[in-house]
Amino acid sequence: MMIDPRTVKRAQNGDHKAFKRLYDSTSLGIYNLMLRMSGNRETAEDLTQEVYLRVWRSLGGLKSPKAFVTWLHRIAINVYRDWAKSASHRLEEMRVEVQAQNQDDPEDEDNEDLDLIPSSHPLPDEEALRGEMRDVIERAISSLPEKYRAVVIMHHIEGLGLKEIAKSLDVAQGTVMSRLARARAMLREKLSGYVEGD
Amino acid sequence: MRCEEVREILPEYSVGALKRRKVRDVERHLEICPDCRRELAALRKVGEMVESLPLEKPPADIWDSIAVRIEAESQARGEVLWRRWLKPKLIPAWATLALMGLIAWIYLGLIRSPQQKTQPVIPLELKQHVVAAWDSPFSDTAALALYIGEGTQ
Repeated sequence: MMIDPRTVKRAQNGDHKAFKRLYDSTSLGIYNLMLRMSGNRETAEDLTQEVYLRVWRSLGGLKSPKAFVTWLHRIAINVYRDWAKSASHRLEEMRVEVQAQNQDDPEDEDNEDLDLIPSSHPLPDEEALRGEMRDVIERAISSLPEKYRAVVIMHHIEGLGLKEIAKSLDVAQGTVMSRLARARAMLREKLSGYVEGD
Repeated sequence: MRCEEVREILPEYSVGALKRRKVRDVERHLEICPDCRRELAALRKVGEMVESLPLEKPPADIWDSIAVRIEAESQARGEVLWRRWLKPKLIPAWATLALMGLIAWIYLGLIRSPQQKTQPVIPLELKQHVVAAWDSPFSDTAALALYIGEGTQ
């Protein structure tokens, strides 16, 4: 992901239009990161908003405009972690679990309120992947522990390089690779019925 | 290497996280083991499946909310700055500064004025001439006029 450092500098000087350009260039990845990390659209919208507000407030502290993308992802991960720790999230998790259990029951009226990613909501590009298959993959990803989920989303879905991920998560590049390998092994197990093997 | 050993490190191999020596060992085993080759293909397929997930476009109203908030924060920051400089306890300091500025301006205005008044310099010869003709002031009207003229400038 390439960002013009001059745009970052202008945004640092308080230029709202430059900040909008930064948002336009990066929000697709950040929103999808938040969506897959939280597993909920409404939460992903709130978290994305919070990420960019934090970015705006602390832009002055960014010493190297070239490092904007990794710095942005670090903020995004921190925003997600803060949310995950919050008490309200505990309640949200309970609600999600209950709804996920009820989803199997077609007579349950509450199913209509469910806004999890693997739901009946139509999604763009759904034709590219059969809905059922997509739901299975989304569920498999969301069941991964946070540290594995983050690298899978950033690398396989957002398309970030290993170096960028390592800097964003403040870990060694080797750690990112071993997390990717572990995550792949876990996904292989969860998707065993859908991929050929022994 | 035995199959169990290879299966243990196959995920690392599939993402390119193995060291060169181990890579050679795994590849030697893969050449002779169709089951491990199938397992490697399955691991790679998992990566492809995840990569095939589409990116979902963020709703437009996210930016709208952000724009409203940053605009409000920018305005509030500006107001806070003004309020900080116009605190009641800073008013005497501002008044003193303004008074000092006024005094300095008046003083500089006076000493630098091009209209500054100077004492007329009357030539000595003219003074002597006027004194010599004191009993007949109109004997040399030209000199008298010059004297009066110099004195009134």
